[in-house]
Amino acid sequence: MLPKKHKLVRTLIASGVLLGCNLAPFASKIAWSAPVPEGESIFLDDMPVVLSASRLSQPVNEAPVAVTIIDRQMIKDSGAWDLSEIFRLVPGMYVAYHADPYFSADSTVAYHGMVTTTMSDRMQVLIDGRSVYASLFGGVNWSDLPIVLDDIERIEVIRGPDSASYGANSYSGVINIITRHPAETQGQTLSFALGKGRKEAVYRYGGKQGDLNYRLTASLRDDTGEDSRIKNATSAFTFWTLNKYDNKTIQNLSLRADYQLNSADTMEFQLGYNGGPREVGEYNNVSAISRNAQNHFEMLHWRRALEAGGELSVQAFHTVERVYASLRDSDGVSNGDAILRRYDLEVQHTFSPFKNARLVWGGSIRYDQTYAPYYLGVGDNQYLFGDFPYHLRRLFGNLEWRARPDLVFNVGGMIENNTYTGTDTTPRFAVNWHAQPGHTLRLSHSRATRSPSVYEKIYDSYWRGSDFYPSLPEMQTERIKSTELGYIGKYGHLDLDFRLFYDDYSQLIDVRNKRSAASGNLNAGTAVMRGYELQLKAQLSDQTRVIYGLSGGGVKSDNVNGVIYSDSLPKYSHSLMLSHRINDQWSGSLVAYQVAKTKFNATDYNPRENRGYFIDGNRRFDGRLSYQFKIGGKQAECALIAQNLADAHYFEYRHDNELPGRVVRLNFKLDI
Amino acid sequence: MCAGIRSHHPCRFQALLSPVLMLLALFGLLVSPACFAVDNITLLISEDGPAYNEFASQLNSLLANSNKYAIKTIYLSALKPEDLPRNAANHVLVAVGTPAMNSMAQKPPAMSVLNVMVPRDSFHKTARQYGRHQDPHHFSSIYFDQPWNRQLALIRYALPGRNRIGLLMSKDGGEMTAGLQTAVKEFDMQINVETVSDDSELLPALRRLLGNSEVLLALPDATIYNRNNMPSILLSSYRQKVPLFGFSAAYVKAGALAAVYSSPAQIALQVSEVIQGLPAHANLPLPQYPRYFSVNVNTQVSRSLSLDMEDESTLMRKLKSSAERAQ
Repeated sequence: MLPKKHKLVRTLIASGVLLGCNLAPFASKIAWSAPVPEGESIFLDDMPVVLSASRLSQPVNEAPVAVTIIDRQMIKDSGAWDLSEIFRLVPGMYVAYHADPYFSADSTVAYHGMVTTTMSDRMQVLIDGRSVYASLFGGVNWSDLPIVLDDIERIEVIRGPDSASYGANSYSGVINIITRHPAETQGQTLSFALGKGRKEAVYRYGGKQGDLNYRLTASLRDDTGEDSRIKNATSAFTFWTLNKYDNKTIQNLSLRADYQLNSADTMEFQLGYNGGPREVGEYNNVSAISRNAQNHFEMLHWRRALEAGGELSVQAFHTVERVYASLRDSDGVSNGDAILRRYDLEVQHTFSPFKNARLVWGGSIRYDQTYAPYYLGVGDNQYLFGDFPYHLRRLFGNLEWRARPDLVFNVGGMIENNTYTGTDTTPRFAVNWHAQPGHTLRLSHSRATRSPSVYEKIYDSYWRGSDFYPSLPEMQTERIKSTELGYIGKYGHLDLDFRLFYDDYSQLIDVRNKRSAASGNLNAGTAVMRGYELQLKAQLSDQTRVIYGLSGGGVKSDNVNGVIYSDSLPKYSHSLMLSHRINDQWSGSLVAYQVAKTKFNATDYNPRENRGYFIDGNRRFDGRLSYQFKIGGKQAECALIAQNLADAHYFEYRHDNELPGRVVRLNFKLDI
Repeated sequence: MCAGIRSHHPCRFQALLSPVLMLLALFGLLVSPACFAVDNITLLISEDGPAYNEFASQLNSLLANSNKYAIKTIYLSALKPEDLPRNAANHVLVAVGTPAMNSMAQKPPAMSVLNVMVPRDSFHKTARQYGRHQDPHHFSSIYFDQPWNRQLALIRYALPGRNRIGLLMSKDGGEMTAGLQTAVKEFDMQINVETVSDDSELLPALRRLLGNSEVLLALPDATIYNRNNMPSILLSSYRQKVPLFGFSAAYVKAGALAAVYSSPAQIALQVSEVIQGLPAHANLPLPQYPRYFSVNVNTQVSRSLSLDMEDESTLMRKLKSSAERAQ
């Protein structure tokens, strides 16, 4: 039995879910089949379809794309403090902390680099199927996501374009975050973290009432980010000796409730809030006098299990990413408010059209509204007021056909229509051949597009205005043609995943540079990227696991109009994670990262360098040691986590952005 | 030749409404000579439910072919004392479901009662409770459960090499595992048991179990395996890549990897064979496990877990031939 004091909470949640979703009349119509009295009923009763099509993950060797799966244990062992840090473990992923000093003090996570602006806008990010790719600049503000690390079940990172399965802007890659089902997070958990510049408290309550499972997570985090002074400054100028402003407080509240209507239907409801003061800016330039985030979302997801493993799913969500800011810049004090709203509805149907085949198809509509007068006041404008609308409609489908037990074909694609660039079709073909048991070859070709962000579109209108180049053609989508050859092998307890890729980028957008507008084409950028990726996972024993990721390659580009693409993919980068369980109480892990020097577009104007600059390679070591014990019969864990063990002071992304040295924190977790 | 009442009506009202039939029945009783073989079957059905009705109609059609039996179908709620014959030497009552079994266990042991579609555990409890366990030839059963050997054989054939079997059990579930130890030894497997005494212990117990088991075997223990606990059990076992073996088709649909089970129609086939093979005076065979069974595999789950498994028909064939070898 649950304690009495929670009864009200439970009732509120239950009634909220039922009434808010207007489920009550529906629920009574499709009731469970009448239970057979006692005894044999267990042999005869219907059971809820729990592992329905969308809950099951595709095995890596059958997927039409390269996938890296990050499970809970990996997240824990990595010692990550911020969600974005976890992606350093993904081969080919470029992660830089604190890339944008104007809009959000946050990380850039970019698959295959090519970060030409401070936001990484070439990758799709989804949480439980909900796109968190922001409309204003594209990309994701990681600190603004209402999610707590411990609520994540697993993360699937698609290495390569995949609009057939993940929708618009699944351009260079996709990050798909899946949260834990409330049935797996029952009971209460309390967790505290305390370390240099870092404080966090998390409380989670998981409950169950009949066919309803729910979870409520609340957290409060204080993070002072980087040191204010740079230790190894590249210049003695004050401007180059100070890091950006990046203190933040994050208040998180999230609710997930899963209700089993009958044996076939489930309704999932989620809501989340993420708010608190967040600094941005830099000394003697744009900075926030005050800045407060207030983000929230609500989501409803209905699933019906159909015969023969089919499924029908309808998902609707609404997101508001809102920041209220008062900024100081060269014009004095400015209003830096930004409000991004998104409404999205998606229907997806999975079924078997013929023997050994599975078709997933569906459609979605989306409406985005962007209000950001300060940030959209491009060029010489101080402000551009207005709620800028953006409509997106798409149809998608993928047919998986197992022609022979050892041969799987995937044919899919997406037709997208949006306000900015009209209609596009992006196909994908893949064949997976299980040459031998435990050895699979995959050949795939896919195409994808990235549509301009609101910011880019506004810039497009600005350049095409009568003051500049009225004959400038309208901006188009960015395009990619991606071809890859992959090998997935299993050698005893070793899993190996290797691929060669050839990505042909075209119509790459550049808007900030007047040269691009003057040249008569804002889509002039092209780049060819070639490289390899290797991923190893070895379970050396029941106690020891090693995970290794390596990637390398190069980008060839004419760097049209001075936009730097060449060398924007590090020649190599790798990560190694060693985890070991010493006994039932003690366990530990050690993680090492190394990234070669990487070239960036002009975003920091170091006085010693020209447009386009290299950031030196770096090495980093993280470690975690934990002790499990019981307090009054309750499970508890104490963990000591050290990031940047070697106390290295190096730059990421910019030469005025130096990562803090060794950061140690203590984490205490108790299952109440 | 024996003649008697022949009533194939699943609906109890129709039989009562037909005076012609009643007259015919009376006539039949008067003219029939003394019978030595069993020729009267009464189906006592716990309630009007799809599974029970499937059993009843299947048995009716199987026995109707032989033209030897008078079959009467009665629902428990409409049972009257006069429905049960006094002279019972040529009579078998098939009690379908636990309520029917419990009801018959309390009646004087006037005739042979074959209890079907009841869990083995419930049958033995009831038989003991009403003192009927001394006379299994007149109070017997075809269990709904599958024999341990068959369940373990399925695990062995489906996932060879996985020998650590996890069992999640309630406090009172101990009796369910009678005979399991012997079977486990035979298969050279190992059993890990976690006991759950209330809901809050489910997840911690499951975690411990999944940590040291390679397969989870579901027991027909409703305090644990009920629809409210299914999401926790199935999701946790799936994440840990420790698949669940269930005991009904519904489990496989829900997300269990596989199950061996007997449908009501398959039980009916066995009952018809038992009845047709009965000697005079209706001495029933000892309580037994189902002879006919089906295997279901959730290929989506096996594929998602990258389990290289034989298909349903191959598993079925292997189970059948191993059962024959055992006999």
